[in-house]
Amino acid sequence: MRILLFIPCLADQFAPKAAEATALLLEHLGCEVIFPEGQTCCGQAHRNSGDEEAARAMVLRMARIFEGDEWIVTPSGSCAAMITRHAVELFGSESVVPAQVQSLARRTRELVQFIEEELGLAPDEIVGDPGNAASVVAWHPSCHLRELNRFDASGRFLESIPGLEVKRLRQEEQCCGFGGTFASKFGAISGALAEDRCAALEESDAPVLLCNDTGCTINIEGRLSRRGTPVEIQHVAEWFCQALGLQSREQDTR
Amino acid sequence: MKGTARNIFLDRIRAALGRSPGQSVEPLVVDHDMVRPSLPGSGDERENLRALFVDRARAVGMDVLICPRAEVAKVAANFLTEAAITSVQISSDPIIEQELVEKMNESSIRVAGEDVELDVMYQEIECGITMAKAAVASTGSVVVTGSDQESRLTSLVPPNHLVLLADSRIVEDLLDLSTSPEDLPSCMTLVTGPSKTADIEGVLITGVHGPGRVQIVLFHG
Amino acid sequence: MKDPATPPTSVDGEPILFPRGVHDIRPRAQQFLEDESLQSAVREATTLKDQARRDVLKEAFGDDVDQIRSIAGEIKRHTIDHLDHYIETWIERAEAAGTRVHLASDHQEANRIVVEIAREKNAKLCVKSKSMVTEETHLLPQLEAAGVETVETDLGEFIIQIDDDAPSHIVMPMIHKDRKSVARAFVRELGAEYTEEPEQLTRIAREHLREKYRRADLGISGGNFLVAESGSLVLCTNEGNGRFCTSAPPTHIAVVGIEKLVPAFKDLWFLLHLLARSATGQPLTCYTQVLTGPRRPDDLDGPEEMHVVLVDAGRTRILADPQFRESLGCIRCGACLNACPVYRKATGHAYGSVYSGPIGAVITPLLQGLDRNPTLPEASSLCGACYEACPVNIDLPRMLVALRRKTRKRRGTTGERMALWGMRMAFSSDRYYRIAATIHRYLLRCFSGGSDRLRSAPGPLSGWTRDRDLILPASRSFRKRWRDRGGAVR
Ligand code: SF4
Repeated sequence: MRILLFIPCLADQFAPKAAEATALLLEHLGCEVIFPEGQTCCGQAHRNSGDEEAARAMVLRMARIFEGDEWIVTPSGSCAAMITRHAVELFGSESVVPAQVQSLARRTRELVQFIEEELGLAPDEIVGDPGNAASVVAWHPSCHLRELNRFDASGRFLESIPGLEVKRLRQEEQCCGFGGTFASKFGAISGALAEDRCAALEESDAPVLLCNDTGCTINIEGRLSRRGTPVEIQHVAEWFCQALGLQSREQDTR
Repeated sequence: MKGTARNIFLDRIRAALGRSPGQSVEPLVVDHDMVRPSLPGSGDERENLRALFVDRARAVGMDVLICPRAEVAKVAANFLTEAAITSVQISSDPIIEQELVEKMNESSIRVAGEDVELDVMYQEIECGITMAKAAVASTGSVVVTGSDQESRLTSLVPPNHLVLLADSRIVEDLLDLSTSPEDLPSCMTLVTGPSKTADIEGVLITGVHGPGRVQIVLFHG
Repeated sequence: MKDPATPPTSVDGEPILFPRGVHDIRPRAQQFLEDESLQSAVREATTLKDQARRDVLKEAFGDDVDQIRSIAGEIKRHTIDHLDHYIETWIERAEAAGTRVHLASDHQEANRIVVEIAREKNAKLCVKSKSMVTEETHLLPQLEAAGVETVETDLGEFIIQIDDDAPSHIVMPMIHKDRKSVARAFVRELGAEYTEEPEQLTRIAREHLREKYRRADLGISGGNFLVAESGSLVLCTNEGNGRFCTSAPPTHIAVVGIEKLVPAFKDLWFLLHLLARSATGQPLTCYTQVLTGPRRPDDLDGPEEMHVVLVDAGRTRILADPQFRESLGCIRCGACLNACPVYRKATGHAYGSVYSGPIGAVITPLLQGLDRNPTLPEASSLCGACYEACPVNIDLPRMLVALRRKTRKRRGTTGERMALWGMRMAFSSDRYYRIAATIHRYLLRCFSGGSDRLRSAPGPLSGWTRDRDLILPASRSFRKRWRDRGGAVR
């Protein structure tokens, strides 16, 4: 199956390894992965700031670049939610949602969602045991999974991986405080929320946190770094690649 | 209120909605029954309803005693005696009231009239006794009223509230309560638990302004 | 007790509710964040109620919860969309049952109507149960000025009144106060003996208020619902004070927002199945009163007169804007406050409104003016917890974004505008994007002095680095790696 890879700007810049792991995993699962090079951003930041017009322009641009009938797969829950839910709403005030945009929204999936719902694969059909990956992890359900109706589902998916213990964090339903510009504009509140997540993480004693959203990742990582807590954050794709022994061709540090 | 002021008020709302005076409304059709409880499927329906009611009423902190019709007065009197209650107020009821009063007299429990002043009620009446007009199984509620038979205050002011409930009056859900205009008293109250608050640091306290104890006597018939 | 005409003030010296001028939620929030006991009290209470809500809804309705929430939303939306019709029907039936109906276009008119009735009845003492609208209209000082002593009777509201404070949660008004402050207020204002025992404190309040009920010649309440088909007023309470206020005094006045209507009893029952479960985790509040007119000729007791004041006060303005209309469907359960991460940290008084949390962030600007509350719609990470919690399925995040659009049009800061414009340019082609990313990475590297993280960032990013580091972009982006590795592109 041929799929188009959508790597949101934050992942491209801040979490290239997670993005790469997403591609590797998809290839391992038998997908032919194409990266449309013209892609930039889905318009989420503009939409959330109330700049609908700019957001619409970006969505249209994206719809053009991702034209076709392939699935569009992204490692990021929030960008998937932006495309599948809000992109269409953005045109709601106009009489018609452009067909391209409708098609874009219909075809976009977050990685775990794609694996489970479209490839129809259960975890034990992908991996037999954690292998070289951590066998105990904590899970950060990103808020945008709510909008994909995946808030519980993705956690359950991970919990059914053979040999993997998934620690649920205290107050897991509480946002980690990222929220784009919110994190800077409301630094004190956002920081306090990040601290709640990190304290719960520390309490859980898990050496690795799985998180499928680059925004949340840089937020939690930033707070962990400030408080000096050594927990590694991985994208689910990275965990799978480790478990399966899939390597990117070249090893390098950040 | 003058008609014109009222029209101006309503016209403003109509303008906001883009509607005109007297414009009709298509009634909304939705599946209200979605909120009904799922009763255990098999067995006697009445029995199931009663079991559900007892279960839910207890879950919200009301006590339930079950007895045959003939023993209601006795069970009520026993409860009062055990709780060391010496004076009560009873709402009118064509059937049970007389029996109750007799039983109270036997047990030397004083029965106050229905027209006592509030300060006398505060000081002297330890328990209000009312007959439930209905009860709701799905929420564990009993219905009390303010009417020509029942003072609003009887079930509110005394620290104990004793409710007599015929099991035939239990309905499955709120949706089954009769609310036709002729049935609707000036005040209908669903009681779902003793008076309570958690305002101070979330600590649960019962018996704030209303009764801290609600005792239901459920009888067949 | 202080002079009721001067409202209680907050940490910034402004009135807790509805500060003068332009209100910024942040300075208050920052101070409240440092108050550890406040933080832990609010965290405990909100997470507990949030969990209780989930649990009991699941227990009662299993997997149907979301469908039930959406039906509830449809019921409220339908009512609001035809509000004129349902209000008209309600008025007709309510008057037929003997209720006197008054219509108030704004706060002043609402207060004037109440004060006039009080005067006419020669009222001296008024017992009042909880009503959000009267907080909105500042009714109490008006009544006091007219010589009517007015006592809040809900335990929390009573404590708040005597301690010269303001409610900070729709359902748990004194979530921000601890037992010590109650104890002190009771010693000071009631001459009680010092005790911190909630049980004792409650008893002291009860004795004090019983005396008030006995003497009161006026009872004021709010209303949770108005049932159009019967002209009834529905009150949901737990303590019993609402029942006292509507039963003991000879006159009862209910002050109610026009959005409280529901078409028929079946709709009422449907919504009641959700209200208390969402608010406190109870199946129903302890007392659900359906009041249909004053006492009837043969009734043993009850008020001789029942008045209902329907208050507009900005609601038709909200009605007129289809983007925000659904916010009027709110049944004030407080679930969105409990679920909201920002409410949990900022806490209620930071919002400067009787309506705090996500619903407050939406309707306060709509009722009071966005110009006076420009930061409220920004105070959200758009995490969606409120939407998921709302029993009537109100899409609060969508409305927060819509309000942001309004603010941006009117007064977005130049810095923010430039940033958005810059991003828009950068995202308009992949070439620009790559160039912008390189510059961005370079600049951040300069600031960090070569480290892979920034501990203190300049300008607008300083908020980010207040409590956390900024991890810098990787040296090679994904697209570069993909190219280098020879991945398929198009
Ligand atoms: S917006 Fe919804 S969740 Fe919030 S108080 Fe209103 S009804 Fe409750």
